[in-house]
Amino acid sequence: MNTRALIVLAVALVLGCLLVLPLGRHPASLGDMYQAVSGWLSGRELSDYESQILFLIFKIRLPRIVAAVLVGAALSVSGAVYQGMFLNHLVSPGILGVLAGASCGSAIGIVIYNSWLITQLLAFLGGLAGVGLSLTLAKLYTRSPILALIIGGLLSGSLFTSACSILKFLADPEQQLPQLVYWLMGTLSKARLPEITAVGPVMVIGLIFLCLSGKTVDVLSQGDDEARALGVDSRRARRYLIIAATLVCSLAVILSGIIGWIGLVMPHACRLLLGSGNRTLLPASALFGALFLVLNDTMVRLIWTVEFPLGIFTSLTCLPIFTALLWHDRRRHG
Amino acid sequence: MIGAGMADIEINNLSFAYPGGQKVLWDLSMVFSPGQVVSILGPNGCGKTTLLKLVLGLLTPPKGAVRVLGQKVEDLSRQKLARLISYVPQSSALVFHYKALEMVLMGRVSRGPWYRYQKEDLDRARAALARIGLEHLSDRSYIELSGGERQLVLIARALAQQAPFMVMDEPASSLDYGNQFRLLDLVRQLSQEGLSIILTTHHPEQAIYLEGRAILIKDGRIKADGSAKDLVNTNSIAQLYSMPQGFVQRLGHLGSMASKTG
Repeated sequence: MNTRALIVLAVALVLGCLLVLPLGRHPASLGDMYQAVSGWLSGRELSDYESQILFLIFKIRLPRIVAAVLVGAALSVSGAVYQGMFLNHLVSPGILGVLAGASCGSAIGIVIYNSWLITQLLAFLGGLAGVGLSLTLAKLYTRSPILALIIGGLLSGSLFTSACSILKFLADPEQQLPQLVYWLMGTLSKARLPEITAVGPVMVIGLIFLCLSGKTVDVLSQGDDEARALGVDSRRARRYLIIAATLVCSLAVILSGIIGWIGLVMPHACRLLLGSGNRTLLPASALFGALFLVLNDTMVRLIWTVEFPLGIFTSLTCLPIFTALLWHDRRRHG
Repeated sequence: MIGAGMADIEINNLSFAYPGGQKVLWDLSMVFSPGQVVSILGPNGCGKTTLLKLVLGLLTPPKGAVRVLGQKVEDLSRQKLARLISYVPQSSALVFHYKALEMVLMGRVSRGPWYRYQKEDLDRARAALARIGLEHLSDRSYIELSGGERQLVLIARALAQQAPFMVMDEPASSLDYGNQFRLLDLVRQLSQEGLSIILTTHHPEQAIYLEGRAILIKDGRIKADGSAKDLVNTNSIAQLYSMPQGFVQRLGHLGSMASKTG
């Protein structure tokens, strides 16, 4: 396990979060923020400006940064886990239909039930249905399991995307439709403290479970027979990992809508930099994915006058980053 | 039949058929005792690999039983079984670039899903790599190693499990001639050090070279069971593989091998 690399990534994430905290439409320096927070902690009376800054930190900026950390970590680590346990470089929460399934479940919750609890539950069930359908379709064609899993995932994703389109068609064009369309393009603009406190604790538990499962994922990536002969009950382990990865992804969808590519590209980026051992790869993917989304979200907040959809922006930024890493790897290994 | 002790692997009246398929094994009974090296020989599809999978608890027999230390294999947890029997597959179809040391360290995973590797585990893994003479390759990617080196890494992984029995499925099948015998030498040494080894092979001369016990299987039934030196000859091999005896004699392979080892 490469502890030094994990410490470097953790420090980079904390520094990244601190550095983007003052950035936004309302100017406030880190110094001002420090003054306001220390004043609030010491219990002294705050000026109007300091109160505004506290509001800015705790009600707007920090929740959004925390949401970016949770979503980035969830998508990235579950992508790494899916890739490892399905012995397949190409799978990710997006390709397995998890994101489309969870989006469909959430959309039903928003359009039909309008209940936060039911939306969470439906997002999780939709995510499970997405990955479940992919795996069922893959099992029907055993001659090429890798191809079958990808095609199964694409079909599953397509089915749930179509279901989402039906919901868009049925949604109230004045109120629900714009909200639904914008959310499906991926955004953290709706991530506020109540939403984060509702899904955050479960996501953190899921992320810790996944990050500590590196040894098991290593062994599962040897194939079923070898994993069992090495002492791992592969069916049970795979079931727990699918549930945990799908849960954190589905909750990420509730916070942010669909943000693709992170689950595919971030694990590969970490693999190129740190190797394939999942004891390092899983926590590294979580940290790297979190940092990547924090930086991307900051850019979409700053670059345009109108906030650009985060899901579209990350698709644009993943490609050059991955190309640069491939170039770096090529130069290193010849 | 030899009486079964508590430290044995005991197979009683074992039959097996894959779902929707023909019966693969018919009423097999045998005992693998500690310290033995057992070569299982037989033509393609005779049930060798199925037998190994049943011993490893990877398949559940509809009739008969496999017992390890007196307990049915299906009643033992995967962790406990992995501490009793290690497994060397023909090859490992890896898609990710694990380092050789990381591969060997996986042999220690049977300590539990939440067990954190200790210094002792790392030392054991390094010692296993050193035992097969590949400690200098510990940081190399397993996928980038040669076929022979990969097979040795899989053996090191099995050694790191520290199980008293090791099951090997055609361990030399993908190796060149020289590496085949280097691997067999290692198997002999490990057996002399007290490890019990059960392996399948398509090459009768390998069974003779190992100087242990041989079990000849055909159509899912045991045709012969005894000392490889006595059992493996042109007559038995011609019958086992349904070859004309003259053809086996013309090859002269068994005779020359037997004279070298005898």
